[in-house]
Amino acid sequence: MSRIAAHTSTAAQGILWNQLQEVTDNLALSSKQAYKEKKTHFLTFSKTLQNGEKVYYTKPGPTNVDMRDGDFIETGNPLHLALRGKGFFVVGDSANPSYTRDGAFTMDDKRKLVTLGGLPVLAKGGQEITLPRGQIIRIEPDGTIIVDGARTPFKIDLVEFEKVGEMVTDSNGNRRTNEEPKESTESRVQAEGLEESNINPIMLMAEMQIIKDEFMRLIGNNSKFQRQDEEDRANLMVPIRA
Amino acid sequence: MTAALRNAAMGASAEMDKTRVIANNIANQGTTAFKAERAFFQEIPGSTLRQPGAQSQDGNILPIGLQLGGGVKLVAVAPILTLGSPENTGRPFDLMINGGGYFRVVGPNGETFYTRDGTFQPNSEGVLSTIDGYTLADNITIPVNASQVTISESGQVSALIPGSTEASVIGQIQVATFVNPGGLQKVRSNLLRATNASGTETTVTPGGEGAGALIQYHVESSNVNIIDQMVELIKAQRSYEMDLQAMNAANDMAGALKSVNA
Repeated sequence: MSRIAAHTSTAAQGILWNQLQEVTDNLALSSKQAYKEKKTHFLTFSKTLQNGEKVYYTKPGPTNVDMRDGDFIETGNPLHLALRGKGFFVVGDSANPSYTRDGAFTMDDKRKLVTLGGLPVLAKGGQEITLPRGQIIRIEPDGTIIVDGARTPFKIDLVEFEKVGEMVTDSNGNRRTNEEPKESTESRVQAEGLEESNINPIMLMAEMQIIKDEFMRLIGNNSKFQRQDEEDRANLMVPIRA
Repeated sequence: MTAALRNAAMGASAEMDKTRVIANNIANQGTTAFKAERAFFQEIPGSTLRQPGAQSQDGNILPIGLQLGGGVKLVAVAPILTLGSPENTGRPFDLMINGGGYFRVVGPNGETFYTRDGTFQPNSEGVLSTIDGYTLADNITIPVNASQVTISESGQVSALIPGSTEASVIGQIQVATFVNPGGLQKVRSNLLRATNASGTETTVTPGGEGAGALIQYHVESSNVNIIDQMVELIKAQRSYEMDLQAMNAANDMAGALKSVNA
């Protein structure tokens, strides 16, 4: 009995480790522009063994991404865009795109609008955006690019997803998913500035303390189970010796 | 098990980088036309504990995956391009661009650089130059004994020449604009070079769209907002402390686990 309890407790400790990793990751990314706080929920299941004993175990469940807007910070750079709403920018290869909310864009040597990692930002229709020569770039809230007062054929593609929590981070720090994107009609871009992360460090610190306390409690329980297990074994040995 | 420690350490390191940028901003608060800078970070992918669509032990297809983050890294430091406020110096050759343009200056080897610092002064040959001796690309020469030098909003330089009763036009200052001024490379304090990212310059008469008019007797002060920087500094400091606490928490938990298994 105590062994099963110890196993259950150890499994829970593993979950708490993962939770701590997630909290530390959220904290580490608190200064990253446009980062959204992630939280994975862990679900508890039970299983009845052949001897009738019931064991409990936990598995990772859905990951929630807090899609609330981060604060807007003005940078004065016409190629910096803060997204308002639940949308994502589409970047990379149109055949295999990735998605980001980080609108810290720049221009490359071919006058293409690119991310700081050099990936092209895509317009509606999957085109890469080549900025026409001109003096003043203005990007409208719907993503339309205007150069020297003239409308260009480019409108920055804004998409959204239903299952944001299922997106994974690729090696460029952008998001990928198998879900088909749909046009984000309600999202708006705010030019000449960036979106801050929406991390709430106070809540994260509280959460971290709870995780640590719970982990320590489980460790204490494990010690009790271990002692009890040793006593059980010692009691079993007595009749044999006798 | 070390992932939580590593994430927290990377977060602390990122906050250190951020603090360094803020400290440089604060140090340059009094530098003419200095643009505050900002650190840009990128998320690092972490371990994928479960692939979405993978098969579970029971043979079910898992509808969702699980990927825990892998920390953060610094990817760029870029200027904030908002305008600094005008500072009256009372000096006739001091200029401020009230918009997005750049003064074009020429270095000793003939290369053109760009600056927002309009602290100009005639050199030994009367040519308007920066404090570092880089001459204005428009080659504005102030005649000896010229007086009442005026520089109009559109960059026309006029002066009263001895023996004349009316001011004469002695030159025209042009400024440069860039489609992506954030892509200019800093060569040294207040001296920038065009890059592929900035695009090539477009030469504009001051006051033209996007270039901004010139303001004589003024220079542009830095756009460093000391209150904002102090707030950012406190945020970075607190985030750093929180990352350290997260490292401590991970360490305590690992220590407790080790003591049980010992």
